[in-house]
Amino acid sequence: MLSFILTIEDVKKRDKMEDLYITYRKELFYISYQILHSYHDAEDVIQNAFIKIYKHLDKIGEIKCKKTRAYLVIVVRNLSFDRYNEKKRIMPTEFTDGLEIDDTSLSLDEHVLNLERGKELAEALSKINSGYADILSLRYYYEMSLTEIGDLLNLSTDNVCVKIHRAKAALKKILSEGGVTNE
Amino acid sequence: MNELSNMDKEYKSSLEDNFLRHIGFEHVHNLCRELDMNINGQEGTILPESLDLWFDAYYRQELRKKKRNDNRIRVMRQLKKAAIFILLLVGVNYFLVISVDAYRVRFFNTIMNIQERFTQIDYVKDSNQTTIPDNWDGYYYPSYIPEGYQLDSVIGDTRLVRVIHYVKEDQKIIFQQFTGQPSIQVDSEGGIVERIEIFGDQKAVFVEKENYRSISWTFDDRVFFLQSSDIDITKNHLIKIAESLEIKK
Repeated sequence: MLSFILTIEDVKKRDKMEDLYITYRKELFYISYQILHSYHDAEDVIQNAFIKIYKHLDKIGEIKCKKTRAYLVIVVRNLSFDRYNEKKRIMPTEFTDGLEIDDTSLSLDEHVLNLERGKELAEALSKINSGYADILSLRYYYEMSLTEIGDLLNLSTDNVCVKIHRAKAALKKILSEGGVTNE
Repeated sequence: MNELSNMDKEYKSSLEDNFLRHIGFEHVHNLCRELDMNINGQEGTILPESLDLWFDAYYRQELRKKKRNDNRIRVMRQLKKAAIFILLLVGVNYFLVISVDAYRVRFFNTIMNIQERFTQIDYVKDSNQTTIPDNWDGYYYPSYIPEGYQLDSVIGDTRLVRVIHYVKEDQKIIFQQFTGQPSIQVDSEGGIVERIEIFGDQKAVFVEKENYRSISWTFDDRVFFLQSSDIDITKNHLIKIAESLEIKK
């Protein structure tokens, strides 16, 4: 009986992975190609991304939903940027946006928290650096650990930690400067 | 005061986490909106066929790996159960040996029985030599053996007596040599005793009884004894065997 249930679970997991690939392969390939302008590199990135996604398949619930779609796009986009930087021999992002990272507390009590502004804040953060918004989403919306994020985006845990601090600092700057009009 | 401050910190941290979760949520929706706006651009994208082939191969490999891993886990689980069972068995056995007399006697009898059986196996193994061993250097052995006979066993590690058995189905030829100024007694009661010559001038004694024939003789400070129960092995056969002796060097 137990082995029968296990078989069902395996089939479900198999279907999930295949469904993910079939549903999003074209879109993900397009996104990667738009960044890399190379079929070979884009194919390589997609392969790498699916290997990583398979390791964290439990993070994915429903296949055809915005949350899953954005998750896959975040992974592929970041891996593509990574490959792009590697090819152009650009050093990994040591963000020097003039942001202080000593205190990344957002001091929300100093601002009137209006959830309707969330969309604009996310946009503003993404404009400063899309990586900031991606990494905050993975950490807080997808509830991934630092190690999981590092594994997914080819980063060390320390680097993930630094990036999250930078992202929070950027967000704090946006909040303190009055919101969305600042970049 | 301090407690209140900690609660305050926890509250702020929780508020901040929720706020960041909300930012993440909005970022995801913004991202999907952007993708929907650019969806027309995807239509011209040609997906390489090699990507599908790669996925198929990769995914099959991953499934095989997972199956192997599942099997390994299942085996480990079974082994754990077996280990627990054996441990319980040993524990119960130990308790019974300590506390129940009848069981203790039966248990040790079983152990002794097993040991005897193992001893018997060892003995058979040692006696079933099929070649003349190295420690026979300086000892004689027959270089001629009648047709159909094969060396069955070589016995004797001491310097005093060495024995070779040759067999053909249920018939046997036994060759023995004794060193150290020995004297042997041959059972000739009710049989025919005849003095014969081997090697032309060596004196030997041939004894024929209803169920065996034998020759015994002395040579090189040793006594040799050759015997067969096979009715097809005649006196001449035994003489021929005796005259074929060679020393192992």
